Amino acid sequence: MKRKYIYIAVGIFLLPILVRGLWFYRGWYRAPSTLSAPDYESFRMPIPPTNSEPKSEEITDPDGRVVLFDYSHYNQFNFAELDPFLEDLSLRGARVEIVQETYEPGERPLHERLKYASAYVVIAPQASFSPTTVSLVERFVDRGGRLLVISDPTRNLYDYYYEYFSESYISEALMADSLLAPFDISYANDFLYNLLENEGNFRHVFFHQFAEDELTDDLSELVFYGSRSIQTNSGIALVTGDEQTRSSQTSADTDLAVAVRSLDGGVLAIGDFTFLTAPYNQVADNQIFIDHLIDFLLSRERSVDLTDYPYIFRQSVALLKSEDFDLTSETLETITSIQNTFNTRGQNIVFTDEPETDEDVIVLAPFDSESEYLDALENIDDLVLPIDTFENLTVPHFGEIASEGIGLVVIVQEDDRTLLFLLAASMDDVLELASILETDEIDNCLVWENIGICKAGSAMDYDYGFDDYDFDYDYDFDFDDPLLDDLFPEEDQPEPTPTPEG
Amino acid sequence: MSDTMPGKKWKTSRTIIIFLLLPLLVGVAFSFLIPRPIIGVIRLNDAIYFESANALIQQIEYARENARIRAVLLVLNTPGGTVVDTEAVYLELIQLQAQKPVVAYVQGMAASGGYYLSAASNEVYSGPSSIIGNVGVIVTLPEDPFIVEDIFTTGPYKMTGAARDTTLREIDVIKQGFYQAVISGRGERLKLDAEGLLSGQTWLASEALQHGLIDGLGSMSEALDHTAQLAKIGHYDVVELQNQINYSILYSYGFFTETSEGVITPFPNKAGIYLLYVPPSARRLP
Repeated sequence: MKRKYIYIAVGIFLLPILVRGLWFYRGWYRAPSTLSAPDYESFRMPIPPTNSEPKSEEITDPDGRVVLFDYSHYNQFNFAELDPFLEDLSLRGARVEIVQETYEPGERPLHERLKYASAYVVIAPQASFSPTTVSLVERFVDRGGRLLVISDPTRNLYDYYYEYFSESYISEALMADSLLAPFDISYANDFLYNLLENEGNFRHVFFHQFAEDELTDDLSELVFYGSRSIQTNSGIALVTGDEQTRSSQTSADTDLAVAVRSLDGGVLAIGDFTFLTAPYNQVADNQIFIDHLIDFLLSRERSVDLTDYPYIFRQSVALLKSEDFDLTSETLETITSIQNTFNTRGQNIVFTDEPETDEDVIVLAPFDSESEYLDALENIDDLVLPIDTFENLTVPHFGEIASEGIGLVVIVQEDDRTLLFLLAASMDDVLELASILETDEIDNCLVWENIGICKAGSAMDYDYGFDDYDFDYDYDFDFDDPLLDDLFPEEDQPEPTPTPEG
Repeated sequence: MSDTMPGKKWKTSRTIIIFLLLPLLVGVAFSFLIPRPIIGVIRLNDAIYFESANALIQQIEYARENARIRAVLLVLNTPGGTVVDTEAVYLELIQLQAQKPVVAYVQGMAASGGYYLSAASNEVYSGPSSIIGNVGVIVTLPEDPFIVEDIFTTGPYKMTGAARDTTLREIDVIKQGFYQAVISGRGERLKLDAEGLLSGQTWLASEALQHGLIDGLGSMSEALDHTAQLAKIGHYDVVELQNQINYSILYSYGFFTETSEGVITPFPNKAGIYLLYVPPSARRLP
């Protein structure tokens, strides 16, 4: 009985403890077994792939082609960054010229340089291109010139004002687009990234998809370090990202292109600059791609026409001393002036009656010259030179025109040389026409392809059919001639008003 | 008979007193020895840097050592901070979480390093419009190595610490740690793939819930209830652990840049590697 009471007492003793315990505590916490700290020791720094082939040390094409680099649009790069690329260009025999914003004395403007350049390279411009420049470049490309435009999302103009913690940001993609618009190529104002497979950082993207093209030969992997995507409707997307490559503008799966070639092949747009610089040029197959780029820049099949004057000659020039050419003080003055102009341009010119076969030739002759060099003009369709002064001249595209006072400028391309003809009715007119050789200006001529017609001499020197009027150039002017009174009647002169002094 | 009855009554009363009332009273008295459980609240309304991290670590240690504290609610409103300090707090929370449940409640923002900390909790709750995510690392690369005439060093990177390219690759290691912490913390609840998670995006809490970055939306009281459920406690006290430690810091002055006008900006005052979210609007003048 007592034991029973003891049990009850113990129970009653425990009851409030139990109640309070259960009031507060309903069980025991068991930590989830899944939650653990990362295995920090196992993480490794990504190592870049360095399987790019070493660049060629050979001079493979030393023909001195000129590559122009634009530096006149606040371009966001430093030439020191391009050292490896410039060195490669130099090894391939190219000459690099920089087109500055302001021309130094004696420096040629862009429109002059495009006449002789093989390629025009524009990197990360920060100013838009004027319509005039765009037209110039468009024409340059139409005639075989190469245009390489490189945009890079890390090369935007970015001003940061620490005092105010404000920033201004100008995308260079828009500026590059102003040049590329005629070629149906445009940059997106974005950057590409790949979060899953990348070269050390999400914005360092591997590219494995290449269109078939000489620029992508032997490529298996490229790495671009901060790249833009490029759009084109008619061009060829040479290098495109895989499914995991995204644009910062949209996460939609699209084949994002980072290198696009225009339909005619003359324009190449690339969305990254960094891969050209050290050490990134040696990663993956970047150097092979760079070698292809240099091939592209130097591959211009240049067609010369008269608008390229004076950059139509590629070798030493011979000014032909023909039978039509009497060496007088006037002709000597013209010849020396031409020589000075050529020498200033860094071009050799000799005055000779027997040009070498590897020399370009300038022929100064009247229309009726019997020089054998004029035989080269016979291959030009619809060109008929007058036999004498009074015959008309027939010129392709321009038709039949009076020959007096007209000079004809013609370029003929032969296999190994260029012939430039300056023809007019008389040798005096030819000398006057030759002034274009002294001034390097052919703007005053009407030009169509390789033929130009210019004013040379004066038509007043010739017979204009006033045979029945006897001009007397020695006419002694007689102011009392009554004929003058008829032509210029004297007006009544007002009477002078007397002054106080009389 | 009358003598017998009082004696019997007394005997009965004595039995009741001895075997019922007395044990009850003693039991009640003893029951007060059972402490009312505490949910400790640790608040972070600052960036994560040396000072704030030390304060957090002290509170975490206090919670770990105090038996009455049955769970911790970590209330976050932070854009993150330095890598080392974030990782230090994270590792302390992992240890605490092995003993006691830790629930994170986002009251404003748990971005970058802030979300790193929440990954060490059992569950994450948030106010509906809080900002969550921004998983990733941010660094300003050092200068290219250089030499000057009057300063000599014994190695090329003595002045810059590392090559730019090396620093760039180092942050990938830190990113891997962050990523693994989130994967480990969220487990199968996470519905984002690696690409989505590492995009660095911030989400509104309602979106974050859909992506499995958090477990629910609600008030802090509801978060406390969830914490109590995890701790398996019915009634509890809530104690601000900041008041229990003897450590105070000056708000933000150690981390953010201050303009000459006294405006505190969201930019760290020195270069480094950060798990930090800098809101884009902060980069523009009002």
